[in-house]
Amino acid sequence: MTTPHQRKRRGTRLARCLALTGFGAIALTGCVSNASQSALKPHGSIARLQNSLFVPVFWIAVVVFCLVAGLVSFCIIRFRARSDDEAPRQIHGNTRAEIAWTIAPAVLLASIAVPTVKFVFDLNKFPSNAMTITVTGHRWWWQMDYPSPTDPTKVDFSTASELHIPVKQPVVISLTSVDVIHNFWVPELAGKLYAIPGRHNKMVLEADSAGTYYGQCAEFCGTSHANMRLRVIAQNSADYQAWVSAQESSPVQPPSTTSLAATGFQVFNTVGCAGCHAVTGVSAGIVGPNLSHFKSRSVFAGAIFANTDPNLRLWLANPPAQKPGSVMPNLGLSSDQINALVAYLDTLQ
Amino acid sequence: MINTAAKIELGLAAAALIMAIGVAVAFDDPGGFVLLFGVCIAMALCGLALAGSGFTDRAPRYPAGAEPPIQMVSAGRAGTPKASPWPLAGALALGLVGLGVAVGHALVIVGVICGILAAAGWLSQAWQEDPTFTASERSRISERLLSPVGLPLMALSLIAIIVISVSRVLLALPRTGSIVVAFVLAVGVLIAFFALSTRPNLARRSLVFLSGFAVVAIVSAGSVSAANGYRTFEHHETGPGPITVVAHNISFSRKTITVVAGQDTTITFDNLDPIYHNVAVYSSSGQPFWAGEPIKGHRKINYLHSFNMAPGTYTFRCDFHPTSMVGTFVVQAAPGSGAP
Repeated sequence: MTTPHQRKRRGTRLARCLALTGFGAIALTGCVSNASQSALKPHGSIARLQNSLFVPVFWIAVVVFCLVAGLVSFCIIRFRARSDDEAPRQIHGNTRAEIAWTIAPAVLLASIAVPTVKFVFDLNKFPSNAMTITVTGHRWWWQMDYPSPTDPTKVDFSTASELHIPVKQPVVISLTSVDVIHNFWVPELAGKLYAIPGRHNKMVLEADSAGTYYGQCAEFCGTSHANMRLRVIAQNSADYQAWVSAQESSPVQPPSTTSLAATGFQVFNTVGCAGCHAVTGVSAGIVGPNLSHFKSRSVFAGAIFANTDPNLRLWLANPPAQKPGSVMPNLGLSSDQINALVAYLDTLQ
Repeated sequence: MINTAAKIELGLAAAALIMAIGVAVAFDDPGGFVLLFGVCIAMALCGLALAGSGFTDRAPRYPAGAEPPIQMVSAGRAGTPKASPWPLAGALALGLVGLGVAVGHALVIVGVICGILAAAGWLSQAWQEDPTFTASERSRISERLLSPVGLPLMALSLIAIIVISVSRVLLALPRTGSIVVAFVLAVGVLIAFFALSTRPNLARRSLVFLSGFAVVAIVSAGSVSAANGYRTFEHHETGPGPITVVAHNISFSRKTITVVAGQDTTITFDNLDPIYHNVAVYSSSGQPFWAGEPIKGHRKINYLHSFNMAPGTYTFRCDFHPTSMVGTFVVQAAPGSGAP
């Protein structure tokens, strides 16, 4: 029969094991080889530049940590009180040691500060001939406005959740927000930058190779902050130009008045969709994402859902239930209206 | 050990939790719930920190059930009450109210709150000078009111006063001046705290006087700045006054909206229906030009837009009720543009 003391010890041991297991599990997540949002695996010139500063500073910090922790541990063990009567030898400072531990950190900090300051200035150099894409943070999705090739001050077309860029070409991102402060972060391509209402902060993105790079809002911005993701799709020049041409074209209109898509077009224009969403030649809403080429995107609703018909049906049935705090309200659509709307959205290639 | 202050903080946490649940149930507002739940967590953490701090309630001065000792009342000059600062605070509050009458109602509210605080402080001092006010009463008030509620409130008030006053000064000055003042203020604060830290034996009275002087100076500067008004940030060529459109019973209050091409126009849209409405402009063939943000009533919104369209006649409608809520949208040529 176990005594209360034994039970207490067993409980303490179990709690320690659980805590250690939890901590170990969290630590092991850092070892995931295919993590899609790792700043330690740069895939672009800017990310590489930032990583080149991070790595040496990290190892200097590791050395300092080991030195300090080692010295503290050594002192705790070596100079621990062995009896109540024992008193340590009383000293009154050591000038050499004090000068050494004042100068050494100063030199260390200076050696870190010089490349850091240089790096800050390097980051603020924007290629003069680079395309500037305006990225606007909304609660909780990203809007991308591409400039007109003839007049860069005008918007050529708008898209959402997916940012297409050409490979190996620096692209300037002009960041802003319409509501609260957001933070644009694609770890494999560049560091974070704030998107602030009324301001345009700039950063450069460049991808080494074609592929999809994942990002998200990195500043708590409300209920669905965690659902405010984005994808950067880097494409080779031909693919990128083909995508741009497709985005510049007008969306296909529903083929006939008797089709399901035509019914969806009617629903789109009568239940309020047009008030928030723009479709070239159909509506001019600015509250929600531009849907002109909605079906050309692989994700929607802040890049949290795959752009499939079943997902769309669930979303249209009750957006706030799928994405907490969604600005898009539940419009109380019938299943017939939802099916028709999905058919219409499918035509917006 | 759970002391009195911890009990109060935990009680406030429970109240915040109940309010959070109430807000979540009563309103479709996750923001309110998150805020109140955050307050609940903060209060609970404060309570736990106070409980774990090791502070204990002060032990009673005499055993429970025993008669309290006789309180000696001093007489003569030694018993003369000290000069009270509260009438001065009351006068300051009155001054704020007076200034508020001239400047704006916000300052009147601040003055009234200061007046209430001054009156409470004066009454409190009068009570403390009464022979019935014992040491045990003092400790009870300190533990149950001052520590858990009074000190955080005072700290918050001080922060608010400084932030509001300094921001008024910065907003009133020219751009360069505000940068210089902000820099000088930051350096001044740094030097002041450096000076204070190097003088640990500074008399309490001097410290109180200096702090009071600083706060009065900041509030005065803030009040004068607020009275002068803010600097001009942006200048827009605006057209005539706002155009008011009311949506009620699924119909617009007006059938025609007239704007001037290229001019900043404000359309004040008041939705009195408990459903979504908006104002959107289309050509007669359905070509979209502009859509105002939909709102659900009862709510009012100001749409600010420059209608850079060819002068002519268009259609405005509610995108949610495009057949029943429609009207004519007329774009007139800007004066001097030469357009018909």
